[in-house]
Amino acid sequence: MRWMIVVFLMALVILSVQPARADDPPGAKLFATYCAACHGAAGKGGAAPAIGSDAYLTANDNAAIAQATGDGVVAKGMPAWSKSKGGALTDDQIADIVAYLRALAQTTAPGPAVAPTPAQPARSSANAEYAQTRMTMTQSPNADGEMVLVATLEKFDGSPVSGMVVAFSRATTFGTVDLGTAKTDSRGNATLVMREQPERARYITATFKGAKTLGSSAAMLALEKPAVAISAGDLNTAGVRLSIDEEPLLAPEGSLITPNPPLLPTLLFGLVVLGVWSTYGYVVSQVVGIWKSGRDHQRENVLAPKARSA
Amino acid sequence: MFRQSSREDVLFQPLQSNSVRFYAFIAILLAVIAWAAYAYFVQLRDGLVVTGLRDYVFWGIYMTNFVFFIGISHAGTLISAILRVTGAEWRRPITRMAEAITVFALLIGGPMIIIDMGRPDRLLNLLQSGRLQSPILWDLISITTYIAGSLMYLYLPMIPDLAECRDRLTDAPAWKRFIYRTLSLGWRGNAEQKHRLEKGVAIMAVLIIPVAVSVHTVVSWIFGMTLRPGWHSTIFGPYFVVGAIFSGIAAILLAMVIFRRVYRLEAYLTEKHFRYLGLLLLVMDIIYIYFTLSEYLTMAYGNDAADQRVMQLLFGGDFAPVFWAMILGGFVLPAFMLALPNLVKIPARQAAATPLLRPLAAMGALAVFAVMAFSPTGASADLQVVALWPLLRILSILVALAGLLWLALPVMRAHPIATIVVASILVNVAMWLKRYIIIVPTLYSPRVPIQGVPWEWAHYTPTWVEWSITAGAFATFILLYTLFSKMFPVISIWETSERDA
Ligand code: HEC
Repeated sequence: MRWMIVVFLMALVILSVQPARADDPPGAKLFATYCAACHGAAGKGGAAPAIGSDAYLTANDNAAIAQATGDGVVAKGMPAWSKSKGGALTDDQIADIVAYLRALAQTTAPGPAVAPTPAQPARSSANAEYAQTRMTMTQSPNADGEMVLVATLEKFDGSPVSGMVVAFSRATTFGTVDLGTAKTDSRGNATLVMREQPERARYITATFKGAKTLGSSAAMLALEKPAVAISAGDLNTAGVRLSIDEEPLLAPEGSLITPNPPLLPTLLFGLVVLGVWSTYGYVVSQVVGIWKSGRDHQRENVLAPKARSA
Repeated sequence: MFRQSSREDVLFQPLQSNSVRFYAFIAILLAVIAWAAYAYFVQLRDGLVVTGLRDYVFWGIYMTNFVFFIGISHAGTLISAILRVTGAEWRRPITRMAEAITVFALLIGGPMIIIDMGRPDRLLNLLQSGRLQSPILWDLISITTYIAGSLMYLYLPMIPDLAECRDRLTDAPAWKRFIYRTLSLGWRGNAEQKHRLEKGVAIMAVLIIPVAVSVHTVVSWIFGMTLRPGWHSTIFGPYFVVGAIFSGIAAILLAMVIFRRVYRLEAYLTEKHFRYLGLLLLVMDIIYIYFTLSEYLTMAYGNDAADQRVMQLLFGGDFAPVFWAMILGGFVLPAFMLALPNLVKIPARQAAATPLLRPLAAMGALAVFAVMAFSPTGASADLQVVALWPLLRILSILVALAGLLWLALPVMRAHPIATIVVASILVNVAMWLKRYIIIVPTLYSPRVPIQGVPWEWAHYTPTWVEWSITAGAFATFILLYTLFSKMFPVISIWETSERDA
């Protein structure tokens, strides 16, 4: 078990840091090692500001970034990285990192830049153009009376996105229950058949995590009850499956866990407790008896000390 | 009344004088308690976040302590009451100590629940909104009933001794004399008083047995009435009761050996008492091992996914070291330690003939044991590809243990009391671990897991606050028990001399 946890933690770290590939510039590797844990992969932001963002890179020149990196903002959780400040990086390495950040924005220096359109923010990485996505979700019952959920993923220009994984989940009081995943087809549709009919917590969420050139998106709907109720008679054996009863939480009337305790067990319980305590009472009365007897004894001694010593 | 022998002087000795060592001991206990009080203050100020308790594991070592102390409390009542009812004469010097353990263990165990609460100020809600169908409310009722009963059961047979203190310790400080005078209720030992006392003791001895059984059964039901894997088990009631008696006997044995040494009670607590109680301990140990086997075999056979997860955690996962240490070191080893010296006779000649071989062989066996028990590879379940490895491992551990026992046999035979006491220390530690292992692994494995929770919400490591409060609980228990033994004779004077008369 422990090794699993260790592997899991390592995987988390590795995933969150996204190590740079060999052909990346030296700054990329340094950034992944030292900075990405806080500033996010490619400086997209995380626990710390998004220093890889266009907004940041447009507003700050290389010298300022290098200065900020070297000196840190120790009080606010940003370490001082410069060797001269006790950090881990030489000035050259810091320069590499700054060069890497600068390359992300493809802007050579701060200055008036074309403001990116909010719908399609410009992205550096190479050929494919970055696009926002949006998702819609519908539901309809199938012949078996199950609800079929269809999440449609498309770009803002309305073109469908195919081959992407959409995850379905349902939020409950105890946390989110994963329902499963489906890939979008050529029309951008990811389809999931609801195998269960939850009584409560009927909000279903479909999530697309995003991809290299695609923004993330999600949709939510409240599950409807299928028009055709499932009854045992309607099922042919091929479709037989076990499921949880519609209302699993309600105990039959008069059972031990209903809101009002059933009379007989309560009475019995009360009788037993009462019996024990009244026996205690009897024993206490014996103790009182001992005390009274001692008092009488003493009084006799006081009244007739002579008689006793005689 | 019976005012005779110098034999009894030794019983009054601790009531009359305090040594420097005594004050030092009390000071240490008080220091531990003060530190625990600070830890509790931190917990009250900052909330339960200072403990290791989180969404998954909401019960930790506080609840472990709760069950442990309630278990220990069975020392007194059950053992002293059963022995009284069955007329076992040798019980006489033991009963008072046992009954006192009961009362103080309950006084420590009960409040552990309140300490476990993040908002102790809401304690009254338990009564105001408590539902009669909830085992938690049953627990409240049965534990209060038990405390009341065991206080009476401790007090009743003490009345004649209190009178003896009143008459004898006339040079004690005024407050002490006041206590003796008040509590002895004007006892003169006349016929009526004796009659009433005997009636009261007889009734309580019988009544306290079902009450004690009910208490630990209800504690087990707090777990058993849930649908959680590892808890929802019909065997839990008797399992807990047997476990409680088991650890209770071990606790008495410890108290006995300490009092015997410190208060020089060798005349009262003889080797016979240790051997008899040791045998009782052995019997309970064997029953407990049997219950444990039955419990886990049933669980394993069911193949329920959540059950499997708990079993996996215990047998090969996070809790495996604790689990196996408990099974082998706390149940199996004491069983052999208690049984072997009675069963196997080694001729003295043979023992003497191998002065060099024995230590060498013992070291060899220890080495085998250490290597096999602590080699890291075997601990993870995935290495079972080498199908023989786990088997080999278990076998060699057992063989090494057996060898060690065999070699230790002459020593154990030469020191029977020490052997029994070591066994009961092992048992007490194991029973504490057992309660931990009942509570935490199940909480690791809910039937409907919360998905995507941070790692530390689903795992439990007790923090310094919890350990400090636990240490404080034990220190308070020892403190109360020590002060009790300084106020009142720890051995029932009238019952021991009644026998001699
Ligand atoms: C332990 C987390 C952490 C690490 C690791 C870290 N930073 Fe930071 N960084 C921060 C925080 C927090 C801030 C915001 C400080 C503030 O609020 O002023 C920050 C701010 C900055 C800033 C200034 C942003 C501004 O608003 O001017 C720069 C530049 C920066 N970091 C660069 C780096 C570089 C380069 C590295 C890797 C060598 C790095 N950081 C590693 C936490 C971190």
